[in-house]
Amino acid sequence: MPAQNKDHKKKYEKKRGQFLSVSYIPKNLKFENQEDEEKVLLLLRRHPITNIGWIIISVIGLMLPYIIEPLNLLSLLPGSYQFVLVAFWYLLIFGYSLEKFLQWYFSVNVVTDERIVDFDFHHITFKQVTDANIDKIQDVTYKVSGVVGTFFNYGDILVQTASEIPNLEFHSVANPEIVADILQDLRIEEEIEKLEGRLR
Amino acid sequence: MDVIETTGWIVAQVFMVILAVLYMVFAGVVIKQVNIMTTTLTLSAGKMVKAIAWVHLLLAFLVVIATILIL
Repeated sequence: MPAQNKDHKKKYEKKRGQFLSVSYIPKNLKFENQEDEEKVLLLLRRHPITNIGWIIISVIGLMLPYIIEPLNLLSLLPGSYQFVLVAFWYLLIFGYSLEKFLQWYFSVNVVTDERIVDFDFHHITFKQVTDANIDKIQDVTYKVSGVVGTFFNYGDILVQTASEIPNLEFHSVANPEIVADILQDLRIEEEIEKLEGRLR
Repeated sequence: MDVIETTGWIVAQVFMVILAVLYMVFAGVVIKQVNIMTTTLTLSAGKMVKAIAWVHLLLAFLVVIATILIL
């Protein structure tokens, strides 16, 4: 493994935290169907900057009652209705923000020493879990595109596998080159283990 | 004229109560979904996220109460 990549991994190790988009060997992480001997190496989620859209919408939503106040739209209603409508509006904004945060926080990719697992929670009633063994990985490619992606250095990683699900995609991952490199390293390690007959 | 106006406000109140109750159902679904998420993935902030979802449901309940009592 190149020394530079080891440095990157050290950098990830230092960045352990509950809201980080990339955690190297995260503490206290367990997932459904995890085997006893299986070690989690990487926890990946979308770069925090991808949340900016819903955060801006939420902030504007929070300010909206103050913005429309000079227009006296609510003054047409009795005071009790004004109070309930504003309270309901703030509750809607809270629910919207919570839903978006949950999607970001729980839609993760987990890389273990045995496989990669993709957890998707696109909306409130949708759950999809996809996994592929490391030894089934055929190719790992990544792309960084767009002004924001280039500036914050995040991008998509495409993992082509020989399993039933041909492709696994990690979206908007920070430092995709390091993650792709770690995946390549794991694949090589797994191949060596297979050759030496050490495979679990 | 008064009868029409009174009926109008009653309809508005019923509409608001129905909306608030529907939102409370949604808040309940969020709790259920958070439970599924935390069962699928045990993350360090799982308990905090659960607590926030319960606060959300509590606020939704308070809005239902407000629409019934205040309006």
